[in-house]
Amino acid sequence: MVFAMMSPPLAYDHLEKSARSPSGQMPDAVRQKLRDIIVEHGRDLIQTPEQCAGLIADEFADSQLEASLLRTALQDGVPQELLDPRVPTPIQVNRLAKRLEKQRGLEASLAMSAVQAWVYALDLGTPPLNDSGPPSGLGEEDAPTIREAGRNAVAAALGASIAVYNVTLLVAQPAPLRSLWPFILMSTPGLFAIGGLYTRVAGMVMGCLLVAEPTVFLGGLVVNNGQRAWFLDSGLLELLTAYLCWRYLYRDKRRTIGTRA
Amino acid sequence: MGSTGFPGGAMARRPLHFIWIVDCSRSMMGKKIQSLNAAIQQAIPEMRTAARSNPGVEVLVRAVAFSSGARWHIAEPTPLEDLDWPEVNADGHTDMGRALQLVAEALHALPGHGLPPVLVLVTDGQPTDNFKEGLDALRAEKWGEKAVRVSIAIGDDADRNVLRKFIGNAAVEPLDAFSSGALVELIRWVSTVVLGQAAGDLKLPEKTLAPPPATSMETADDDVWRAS
Repeated sequence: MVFAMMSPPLAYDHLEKSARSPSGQMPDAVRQKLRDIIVEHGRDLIQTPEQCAGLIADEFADSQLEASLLRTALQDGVPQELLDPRVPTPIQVNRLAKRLEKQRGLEASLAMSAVQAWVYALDLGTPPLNDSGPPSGLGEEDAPTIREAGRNAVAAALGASIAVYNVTLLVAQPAPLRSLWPFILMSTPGLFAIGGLYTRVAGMVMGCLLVAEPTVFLGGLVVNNGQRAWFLDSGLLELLTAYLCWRYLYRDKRRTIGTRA
Repeated sequence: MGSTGFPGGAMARRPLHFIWIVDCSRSMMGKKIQSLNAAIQQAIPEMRTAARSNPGVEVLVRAVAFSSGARWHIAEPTPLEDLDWPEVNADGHTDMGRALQLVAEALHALPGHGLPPVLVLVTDGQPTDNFKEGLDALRAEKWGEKAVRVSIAIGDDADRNVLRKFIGNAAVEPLDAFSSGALVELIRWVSTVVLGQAAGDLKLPEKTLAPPPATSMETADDDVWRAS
């Protein structure tokens, strides 16, 4: 059934329990069947929403509540906009769910479940079905954001080089006092290597490590035991990062320039 | 002298082709298809009564059922006296375009003169195939274009725009059936009033259908086919 023309909030109240699984998603069978329809008819099907709506009505004759949500999203242009390559899917998901909520009067989690079902059906990098369980017990609607954040966090952690230290003996005269100097350097991705003197006793070239965009930083310790100063930093990662920076920032640029020439 | 006692024998009866085009897709499953079957079965005696008031017309009934594809449910033009309605079952998609093509092929075979046929489309959904192709094929036929085209939309999901295109007459709206009671009422109206008009007026197709019965939403039926 299609509820698009109805007074919004009350019409959906009864969908609250039935159209979602406890995890906030539509039942796997519904999402999978929708995906099967798209696979069978191709993504072009959503360019003819009437035909697509007809198929949904027929295929989900036993799940009319879910069918109405899917058709509402379809009428609202959700699947069509999800396929817009200019906007990342996670951003689209949140935006479209909010729009369904506001314009169609859907309860927030129902709106999100409908959008997520379309994301899954269109195979747009979606989380697994319910059987595999949502990550960290959170709803599927949070998954893209969590993945993004997780990726950044991993990159940041690698960049911080907390775990992997490379010990470099400072060859120059040690500092006069015992000390332990933490330091952190921050830079931009393009500024991947800094050469310079660290102390008057060090005189060494130090790398600066790329971490994750948009900020890179290098963490480390300078240990001075009164006799010698030790510079502990993430040397191995520095080398790797320097290589990656060279490869992606400089070598490609040279190649581009060469092509243009 | 023939058995009727008229000089020259029995009066020639002009055939009036009446074609049901019924949606048997999966979304019709349950009460809708049951109600449709019952409504048509109940309408047949009343059709016979209506036809008797036009003795010069012989009503011939056929039926197309469409779901995934389309097929003749009653293939031969059947006189009302012999008409029986075998029940249809629901499954598959809503290939309405294919059904219209099938009807177009049948109309193509009709003689060039006679009464315009009556086409009654009953559906609860949206076409899942190329509806436009089917409609174009139908309207390309002389009798397809001249036919009295009526449609009954069952429930909220039926695509009224598609049905308006089928009717092709801005003065005639699809008939809304939101309950089994309303469906029975509308089927009866189509089977009697529309049939009677078509039988009595050669120039009927142009904007002259009698107003349909007012089907009340306040029905005792427990199967109300609305979202709210």
